[in-house]
Amino acid sequence: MALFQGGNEEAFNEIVARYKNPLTNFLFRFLGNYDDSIDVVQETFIRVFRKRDMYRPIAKFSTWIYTIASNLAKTELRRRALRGWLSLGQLRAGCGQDVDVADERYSPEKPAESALMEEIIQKALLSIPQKYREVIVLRDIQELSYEEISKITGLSLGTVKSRINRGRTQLQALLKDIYNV
Amino acid sequence: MASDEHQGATEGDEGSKARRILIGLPKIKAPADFGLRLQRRLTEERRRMVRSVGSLSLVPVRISIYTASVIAIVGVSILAYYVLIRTGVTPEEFSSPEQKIEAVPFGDSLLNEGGR
Repeated sequence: MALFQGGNEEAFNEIVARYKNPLTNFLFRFLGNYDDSIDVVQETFIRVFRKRDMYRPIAKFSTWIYTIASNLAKTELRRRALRGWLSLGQLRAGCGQDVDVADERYSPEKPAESALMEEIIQKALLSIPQKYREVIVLRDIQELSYEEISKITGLSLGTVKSRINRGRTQLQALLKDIYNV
Repeated sequence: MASDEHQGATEGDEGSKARRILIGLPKIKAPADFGLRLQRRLTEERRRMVRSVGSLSLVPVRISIYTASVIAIVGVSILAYYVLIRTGVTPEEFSSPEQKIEAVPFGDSLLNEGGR
């Protein structure tokens, strides 16, 4: 990052190469839509490019980039909620909750059973509250430390741990019938 | 949110099965054309930055126009001050089209001078 701040554009390409897949994974699990996730990852890198002078090496770069991605993802979720609210009038009575369905395009040749299981898990993940989902994805899927999650979310360590536990419990309850966990 | 505080449980058995399931999820990757799309957006971003720098360059021009206006106003004021006040001409006199000119009888003065 220091090289990139010094004007080395190759360093930026290196950052992209290093973080594009972890961020895509995080955002897909958090947002539940592949195209939206890619848009947010792209926007994250644009922000990094634009705000490169604002980064201070006192914080880990991964924490900084995850914070940007997480904030953009929350903005996207708010936008979706607003869109959903605006289109409420168009929905017919009796329609169920609008649940994001996992996008299968990223792996078309996936075996049907594991794809189904993955879709079930993804749906369960998307049905737990956003505040729990965010920390669970960061901890259990991205395997970040509690300290890093605390910095990314701006929450205390205690709150992070509490939310992770509550989220896992909810997730386990949702999956127990299907997955026999 | 307040209810979340002070409940920092450690990673125990509760939810560990859920954790195992989540860890087992396949990793989602960015598409192959990700870099290309990003480069396209970055090119747009650079253009936008150049445009914004270009628009910033108009600011000194704008400032100089305002400065010139202020200088012009101040200059006119100073000129007016010298013309109207320092020279003793009151604005009424300056603006009055009827200037009082004492009529001197042309013929009489010549006669008087000639008479001398």
